[in-house]
Parts: sequence; C-alpha cells; structure tokens
Amino acid sequence: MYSRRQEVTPVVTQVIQTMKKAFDNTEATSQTASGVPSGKVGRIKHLFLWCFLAITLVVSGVAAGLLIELGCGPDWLAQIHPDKSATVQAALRWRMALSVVTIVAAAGGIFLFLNSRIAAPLEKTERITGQMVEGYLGGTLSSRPTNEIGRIGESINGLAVNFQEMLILVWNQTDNAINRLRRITGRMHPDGEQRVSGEMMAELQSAHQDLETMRMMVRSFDLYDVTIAEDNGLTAKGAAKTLN
Amino acid sequence: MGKSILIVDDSSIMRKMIKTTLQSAGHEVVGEAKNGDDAVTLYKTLRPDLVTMDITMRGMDGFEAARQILQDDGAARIIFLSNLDETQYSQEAEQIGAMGYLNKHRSKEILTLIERI
Repeated sequence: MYSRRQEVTPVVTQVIQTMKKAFDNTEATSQTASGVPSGKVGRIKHLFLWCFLAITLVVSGVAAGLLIELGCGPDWLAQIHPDKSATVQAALRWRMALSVVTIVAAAGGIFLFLNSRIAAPLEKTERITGQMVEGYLGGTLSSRPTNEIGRIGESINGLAVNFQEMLILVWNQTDNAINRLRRITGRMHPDGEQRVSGEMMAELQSAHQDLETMRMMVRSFDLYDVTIAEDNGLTAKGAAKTLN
Repeated sequence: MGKSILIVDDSSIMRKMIKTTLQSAGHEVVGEAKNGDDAVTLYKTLRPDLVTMDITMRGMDGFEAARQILQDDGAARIIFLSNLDETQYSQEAEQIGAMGYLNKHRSKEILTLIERI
C-alpha cells in the first residue's frame, strides 16, 4: 500500500527549503543608488515571521487532525449526542474552522505589530548607524520616540549632530590656523620682512601640512546639512536649504 | 545687567558651550531648543530678552524659526550663531530682522554683541 507519508514528505521538505532560501538572506548587503551602504536585511523580522508560520502550521495541523477525526465520525461523539451527532459534527467543524482562522489572523496581526514596532525600527537604526560608520552623516532616525528603540534613535541623531559640530569646528579652526601660518611664512620668506632659518621654515611648512591632513579627514565625511564649497567656506546643502 | 536668553541649536554640545559662555558673563539661560519648532514654542512661553539661533537644524531651520518668532512678536531680538559662510548668509539674516550674525565659536564677539543689544 502506498504510504501517504511517502507522498507528503518530499513536498513538505521542498516547501521548507524554498521558504528557508527565500528568508535566509541575512548575508546580503546592498547599496543605494548614491553608493551609500544600506545595511543587511533583518534577522529579527525573519524570526517574527518564522514564529508566525510556526503558529500557523501547528494550529493548522491540529485543526486538520481534528477535522479528519470528526469526518470519520468518532465513537465518543455518537455516545455523547446519539441523536444529533451529524448536526453537532457540522457545528464543530464550523467552529473549528473559525477558530483556526481567528488564531492565524491574530498571529498575523501580532507579527505585523512586532515588525512595525521592533523589527522595522531596529533595521533602520542598523542601516543608519552603518552609514555613519562609513562617514555618511546624512541619515536621520525618528525624532518622535515612543519607546526605547525610538529613544536610542534619538540619541544616535544627537551623537551624529555633535560629531558633525566637532568636524565643522576642526574645519574652521584649521582654516584660521592655516591662514595665520601663511601670513607668518609670508613675512618670513627669504625676501620677506624677517629672515628665518631653513629649519624653522620646514617646521612651519610641516605644521601647515598637518593642518591640511586634518582638513582632508573632514572632507572625507558627508555632512548632514552642510557642504564644503570650492572656496572652503561652509554652505547649507541642497536647493531646499537655500534658506529663503 | 544680565539678559534672559533662549539658546537654539541642534547640537547639545554647542548649547552647553554657548550656555557656559553666556552664564560666565552673567546672563541667564532660560531655555534651550534643539530645532526650529521647539524654538517657536518655547519663545511663546518664555518670552526671553534674546534668542541665539543656529541656522542649519534638522526639521525647521533657524531662518524659518526666526521668521515665525518675529511674526508672533515683532520686537523679538534674535542673533544668528552659525558655522556657515558669513558673507553668504548675513544678508539673509538682516532681511529677516535679526540683530546680528556671528560665527558660533567667537565667544568674545558674541558677548560684545549681546551687551550692545
């Protein structure tokens, strides 16, 4: 006799493998069109999804088993309701089907809720902080936190703002220092007002170079709302930021 | 005599630095706002003698916040403290009705301007 289990097992295995392949993409990284890394796809969302699928499978399996049992007309039912067993069976099937649908819908709702409140914000936080690590400070997390994850996002925003402020301070102060050095070295040029040893001149040029190196590091960051113009001045970024 | 001042800047470190500068000169910092929306709301509540306003902030920027404050209170005194190129933006600040535009890291000049106002 051909076993039903032998028929079903390969199909179930195939389905599980296909779902696993579709969901197991946590190693994938991607970039936006501008080349900014957009982070990895979330494992937590997949965890919630697997929980939802597991609940659905378990409930569906139990319901299927009970329906099959009811379909065969169990003895215990005939003993309890000898006159109405067929009617009771039908009513029980309906109620069971409704219960399964309700439980699956509730599980789906819980998955969507957890995804929107936990998984999605965490994914965005991971993405934005990943961008900041790469020097892109333009990302912003929700500024109206409703829970701990939101407050973490707000703190990260604050860190990015303070860090940018520091970078701008470095930029401006090195600008001032370089201009002073130029004026000093201009006066100390062999043809200038005051003669100075070659060693001193080399020291001054070295200091100038150190400052340029610091400015080069600042330039390697992509700031949130400010851009470094051709003349090394700072201007607000983008058309919307012309501040008119 | 010290003035009551509202500090507006999205950087908490910058607000701390400005507050220290102002308090060292005997002024009272009555409030701090980290964006333009909060600045407008706090101004209506606190009615400070003076507002120090950053320009680039997430959400509503300083220029828009200044416009709204001046719309509500024509006598509001606002000075812009910013890192942006002064030659490019000081004219805009003047047109809005601000009392000054300074680099936010020039403490002495900031205090001198506040004393004059």
